[in-house]
Amino acid sequence: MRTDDLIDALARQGRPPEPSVGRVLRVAQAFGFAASAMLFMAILGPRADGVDALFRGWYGLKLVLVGGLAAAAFPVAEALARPGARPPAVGLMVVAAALVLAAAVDIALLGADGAASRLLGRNGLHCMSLVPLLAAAPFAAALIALRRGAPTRPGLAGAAAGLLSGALGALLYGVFCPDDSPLFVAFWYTLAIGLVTALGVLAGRLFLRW
Amino acid sequence: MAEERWRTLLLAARAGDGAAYRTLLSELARHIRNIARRASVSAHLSAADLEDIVQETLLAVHLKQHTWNADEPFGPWVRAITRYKSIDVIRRRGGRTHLPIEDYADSLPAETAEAQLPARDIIRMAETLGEKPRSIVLAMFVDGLSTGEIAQKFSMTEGAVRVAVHRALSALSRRFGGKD
Repeated sequence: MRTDDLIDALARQGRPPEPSVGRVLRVAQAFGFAASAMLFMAILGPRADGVDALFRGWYGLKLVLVGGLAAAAFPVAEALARPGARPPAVGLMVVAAALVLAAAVDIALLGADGAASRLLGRNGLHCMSLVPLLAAAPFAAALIALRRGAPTRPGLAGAAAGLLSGALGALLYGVFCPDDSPLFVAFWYTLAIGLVTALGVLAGRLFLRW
Repeated sequence: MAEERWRTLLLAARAGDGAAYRTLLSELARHIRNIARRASVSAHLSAADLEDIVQETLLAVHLKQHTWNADEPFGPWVRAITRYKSIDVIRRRGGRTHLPIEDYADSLPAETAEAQLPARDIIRMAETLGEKPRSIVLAMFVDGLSTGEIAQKFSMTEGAVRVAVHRALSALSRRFGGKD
C-alpha cells in the first residue's frame, strides 16, 4: 500500500473514538482500588483502634504520606502514557522529602535507641506480602489503561504503574497495620512498593509495547 | 510555524473536518519521512523500510491521537512517536542484511516517489483479521468507501463503523510490530 493511499483511508475514517488516557487511568484505578478494598475487608479489615488513632501519633500521617504517594504517582503514569509529555516528578520528591523528615523527627523525639526495633517493627514480612497482594488489582488495571495510551518508554511507564498501584495497595495495608513509625514506613513500605515498581518495569517491557 | 499549523489542523480534524485531517496527515508524512530518513540511513535501511516507518508512524499518530493534549506542544508529540516507531522497525530489521544505503544515498528516489512505494501491506495483513473486520477494512482501503457508505453496506451506524475500523487498525498495528 502506498503512503498516499494510507493517508486517504485514514482521512476518510476520521477521528478514532478514544477517551483521554487520564480518564481511562482514573476509571481503571477506581475499579482496581475498589476491588482491592473488597479483598482488604474480606481478609484484613481496619485495625481496632482505627478511628481513634487517626489523629494521634503517626497513624494518620502514615496514611497521608502513602495516599500522597499515590496522588503524586498518578500524573507521572499518565504523562508516561503520552509521547513527548514530561512526567511531573515534583510531587514524588515532596513525598520522599516528607518521609525523610518524618523519620528524622521520629529519631529526634524517641532517640536513636530502639530505632532499629521501630524500623523492623513486628509486621515487616506481612507488609512485604500483603502490599503486593493488595496492589495486584490496581496494577493490572493500570497496565490495561496504559496500553490504551502510547508509552514510548514502556519499562518506565510500567514502573510508574507499579508505583501508583503499590502506593494504593500500601494505603489499604496501612489502614490495617499497627506499625506506624515513619522508620517502619520508610523501610518496609519502600521495599514493598519498590518490589511492585520493579515488577512494573518487567510488565511494562512485556505488555506496554505498541 | 508548521507546528502551530498542525495543531490548528488537528483541532479542526477533531471537530470533524476531514479535509483538514488529510492535509495534516500529508504534511506529517513529509515531516516524519525527513526525521526517519536520518535514522534509516545510519541503520542501513532500504527506502522501502523507511516508508514502512512513515506508514507505521502515521498509523500510530492516527490511532493514538487522543494521547496529545491540546494544551501541550505538538512537535515533541509527533517526534516522540516517530522515534519510537523508527526504533521499532530498525530493531525488527536487525536480522536482515541490507545494501549500505550510503552508496546510493545521492540517488535516493525523491520524496514523492517514496510515497508511492509499496511498503508493508495493510491489505495483505487484513487477511489475518476476522471475517467482519476484514471486509470493513477492505471496503475502506480497497474499495475506497467512506464510513457513511460502509455503514450503509453493512447496515451499521457510522459510529459503529468507526469503532470497528479503529479496532481493526489497532490489531493490524500490533501485528506489524509482532506484538500480537
